[in-house]
Amino acid sequence: MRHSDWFTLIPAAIVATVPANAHATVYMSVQQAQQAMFPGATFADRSANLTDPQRKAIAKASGTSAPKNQRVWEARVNESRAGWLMIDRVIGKHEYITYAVALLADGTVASVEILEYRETYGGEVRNANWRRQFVGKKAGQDMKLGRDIKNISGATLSSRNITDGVRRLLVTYDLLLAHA
Amino acid sequence: MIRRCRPLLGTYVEITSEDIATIDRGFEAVARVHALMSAHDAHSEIGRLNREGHWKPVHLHEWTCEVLLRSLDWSRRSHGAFDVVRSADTDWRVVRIDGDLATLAAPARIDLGGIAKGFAVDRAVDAMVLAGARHGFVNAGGDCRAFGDPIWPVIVVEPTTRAPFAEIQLCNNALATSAVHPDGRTNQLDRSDLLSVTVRADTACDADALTKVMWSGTSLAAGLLADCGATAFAIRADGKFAKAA
Repeated sequence: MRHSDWFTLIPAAIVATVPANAHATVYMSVQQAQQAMFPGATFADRSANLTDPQRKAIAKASGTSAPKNQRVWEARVNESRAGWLMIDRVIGKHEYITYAVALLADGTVASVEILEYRETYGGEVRNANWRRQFVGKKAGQDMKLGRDIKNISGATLSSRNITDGVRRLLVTYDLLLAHA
Repeated sequence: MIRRCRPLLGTYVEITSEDIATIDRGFEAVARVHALMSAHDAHSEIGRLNREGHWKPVHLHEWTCEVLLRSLDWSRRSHGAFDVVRSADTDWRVVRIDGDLATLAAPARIDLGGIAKGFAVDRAVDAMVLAGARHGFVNAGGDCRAFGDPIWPVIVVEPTTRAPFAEIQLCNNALATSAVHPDGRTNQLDRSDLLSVTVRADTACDADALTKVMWSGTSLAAGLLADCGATAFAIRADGKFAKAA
């Protein structure tokens, strides 16, 4: 239904058929993040399972709970350590977001990039099966305008979860990597 | 097209263009606005102004000055309906800008949240164009702007359900939405009759400021929209469409 000449209302009938207002965007793969955040570096996988005491200590110091496995790579340039790339996820009320944090060799944050963003209002965000459908989705490198791209306006999402997550990753770094 | 997303300005900022280098320039501009104007950072220029401005002049970056001057202009033209001063007993008139120095005539708390996102989007677009981008799209938590030849479809969603409500085709212009927080909180005075207002304007900064003007309910809103060549609509509390002003 057209309304004036600059926007189109989406009829309720169409809205009703949209499955649980789900929406997912893949921005980068882990490999793309590595290359973007540490250009020219090689990466050594230092991912590790966190012990229960470690997870408890991280939760206490940071205020948010840590995953059982922390994904992290050491970035090396010219035989020396350039820094660390940590991959993490935050689960909001309706969002499931995977992101990457690049730390310099001294542990300071160099950059933060969102890798994948998924949202649903059907309550499935904590359901592992729902999350599985996004595994293997390719980053939208060849997106055609108008297809696959969803540009949204209407409810400003707070990135507070990411801020809290980065704080937790810095605590994890102090615990696991600062003296590695 | 390449799309990247970073957490900035307290929300998620997406930048889409052909070239990663120009996208980086865009994010640098947004990060600069974030560092200068973040209301929650004591080290930002606004943080410093709030802390020191009432007892000595504070030197500001030209971008911070520009946002403050535009804010004061919006306050003047809206008779205070738009106001970046959040204190109970003072208003926009305590802010004095003299060149690159700012003072507060009385202690006050400035929060640029109602205009800084739009300003950041415009600066990102400028930076990308300067870097050679022919077209692109910048979206800071729903304050967005398209530049170049292509038409960019934007879906305005109902803020509490995020169900798609309307589709807008943007081309070399901007869109901003001010909405109730999903939990019921807002940064401005509560509107019990509206869920959100959406404004289309030439620049993201104007669109952003105008959503606040509209949200205030001032009778001056229609005229101020017209002055900017802007258009708007709202989503009512019952989920139905409402005309602008």
